[in-house]
Amino acid sequence: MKRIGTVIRFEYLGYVSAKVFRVTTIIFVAAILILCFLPQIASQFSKIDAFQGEKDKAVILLGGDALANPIYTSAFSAKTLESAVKKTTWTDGNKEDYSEEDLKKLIEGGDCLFAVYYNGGTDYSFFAAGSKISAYSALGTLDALVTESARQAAIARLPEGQRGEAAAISGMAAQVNLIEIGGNAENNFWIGYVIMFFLFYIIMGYGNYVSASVIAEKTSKAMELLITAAKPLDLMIGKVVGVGFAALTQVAAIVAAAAVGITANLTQWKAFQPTVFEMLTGANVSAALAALLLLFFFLGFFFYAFIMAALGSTVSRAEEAATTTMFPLLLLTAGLVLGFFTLSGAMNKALVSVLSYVPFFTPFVMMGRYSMGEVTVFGAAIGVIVLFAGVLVIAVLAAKIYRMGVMMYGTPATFKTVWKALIARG
Amino acid sequence: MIEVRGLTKRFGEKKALDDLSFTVREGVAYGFLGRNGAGKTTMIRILMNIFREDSGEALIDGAPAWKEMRRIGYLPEERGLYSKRTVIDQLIYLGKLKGMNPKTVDRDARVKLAEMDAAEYTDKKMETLSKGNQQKIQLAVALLGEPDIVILDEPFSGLDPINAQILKDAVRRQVSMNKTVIFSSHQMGQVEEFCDDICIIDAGHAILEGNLSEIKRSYPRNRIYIAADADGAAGGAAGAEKLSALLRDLPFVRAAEPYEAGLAVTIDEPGKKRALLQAAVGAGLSIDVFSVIEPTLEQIFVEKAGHGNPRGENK
Repeated sequence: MKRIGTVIRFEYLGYVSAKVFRVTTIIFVAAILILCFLPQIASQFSKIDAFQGEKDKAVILLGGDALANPIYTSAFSAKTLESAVKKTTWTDGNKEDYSEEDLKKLIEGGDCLFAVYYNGGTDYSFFAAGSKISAYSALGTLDALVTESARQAAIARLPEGQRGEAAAISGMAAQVNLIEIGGNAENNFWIGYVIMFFLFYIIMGYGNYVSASVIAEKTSKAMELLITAAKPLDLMIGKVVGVGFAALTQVAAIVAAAAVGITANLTQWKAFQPTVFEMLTGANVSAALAALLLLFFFLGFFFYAFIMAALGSTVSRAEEAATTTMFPLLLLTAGLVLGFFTLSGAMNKALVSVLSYVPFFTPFVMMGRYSMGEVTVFGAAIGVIVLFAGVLVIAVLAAKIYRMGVMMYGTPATFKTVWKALIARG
Repeated sequence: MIEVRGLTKRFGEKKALDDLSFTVREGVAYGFLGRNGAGKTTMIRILMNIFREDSGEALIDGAPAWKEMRRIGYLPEERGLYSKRTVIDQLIYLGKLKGMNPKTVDRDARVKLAEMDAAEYTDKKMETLSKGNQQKIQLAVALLGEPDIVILDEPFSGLDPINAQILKDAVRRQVSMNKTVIFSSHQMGQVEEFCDDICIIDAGHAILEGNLSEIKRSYPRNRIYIAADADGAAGGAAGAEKLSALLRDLPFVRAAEPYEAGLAVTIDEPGKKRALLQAAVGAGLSIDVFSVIEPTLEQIFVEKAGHGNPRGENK
């Protein structure tokens, strides 16, 4: 244990003091802070836009019963429209003054972005500059306004005694009191999604680093000294855990930056993107879910990192590593995709159950199943045990390959030599 | 004491070690000799538990060698350390892995660097050092923790004379401290300089083993170095001429050739030494040197391992 601790410390310090680690951590932290401050940055841009007076121009022409009905004239006044469809300056007019051709010319000439030709009731024509997406975003708001105005006008036409009831009927909507017990699957979906991505990228990046680090020890010829001073299993575990801690340090820096950034911008996020805000802050992660997600995260990392260390030991040059590590990385990618399918519920449930107990896929698929509430705590715990056993078996097998591989220079290992190493005693 | 008994190791079809046996006494410098590919490094790697033997055993004081690894300091043939880390970091790391006290390893590492005349590189990264200086650092690693047994695999290859001398001094210190030093090399001069006992292996098999002086003495002692003086100048041309003329008349003299300041005379049998000396003195020569010429280690090596030995190269 003492030796493993020594190796962990050496590997950890070696990695975190490397320039590449410091630079990438700074870049990640800066990127996450920029993302967190996005609402403020966006509002600055809005101010610039407002200052520059780049508001869209629109025309609304009323006709039919609109001219005679104060409800329509009030609803479609320039003031009402400017508060409903923001960033737009409205000009109103009488339908009789312009033909449809006149409106088309206005838009083609760039004098306005869109125009509304109101015919009465719920009937209106919407003329949009087809190449500009912002024209369409106004359509939804306008639609709701027209529908509501028509409804109000219709109610106004009813005898006085019926208006109250009609207004109540038209405003009727289901009153749902949602009481969530034991977490929120929608929020858990996002948490599962984010952690799966994190796990995938951590294994991709740091797993490859483990493999590259073993190759570097071989090429620098340090390996012969190392394996006479410590057991290969200790060296390999120390390396993987040391690199794992380095990964954790980087993730912790990113999460801390995100926490600081989000806390500093809570109000802005709430106003800027309510859905994203809900996603970021509303997740009701239970202690059991958090513990399981973390367990799958670490065990998944160790499972793949041991494989990468063993495979790294079988080659002598960095360029050979790409071919050797391709197979586990394919399995890793398959695991991620299966995890996403599990989250979306798009896969056969029986197949998902089976795959969630295959150690190559367990970190992703079981994480997905548990996040979506499709497996009991007991079932997930069995998954953890299976994955833990998988990590132990892989560690022992990897150590055997590592012991053989690290002393092979020049010729890459063949299946035969790897097999011989696996069945060797000790 | 290190005992190697019947070690055999195959790499595929190739037999790297073939029933190899030898014994290294405690506190001696032991030369492990062989041609390239004879199996020296394989033998050492088995002793260091890097390779597993197919059969046979390697024991240190009666215990399997792999259980006694902490007692061994090792300078491998394939040398290298972490290029991006500082010298002191690596010494401390390897010292701790070897089981040294974490509280004293820093100080011990600095002492070893000073002994190797490498203190100035303490905080330098390995990649900034020359090959010779890197080799000195490696020897410092091998000697860290004052191991009882030091195994040096080709320690002088690639060194300039000054660094070679520093390494020689370090090795001599180990020998003088009664450590067991196993020295693998094909540079005979250096082995002869340090080693008490030797083992020559060829094709993975020991073909000669024992005390170097005894081995030399076991060779026929029929080659005599004579330096004589005929006209007052020791080893002068006149002395050599007169001696040559005398030797031509002696029936038991097989050959004579110039050797150092005189002649190397080969006689039929060692027992004729006295007759040779009497003849020289009787001829009025004043004898300055009369001694048996022992074979050099190189001559012994070439004779044992360099001929058309059926074992020949094994790699």
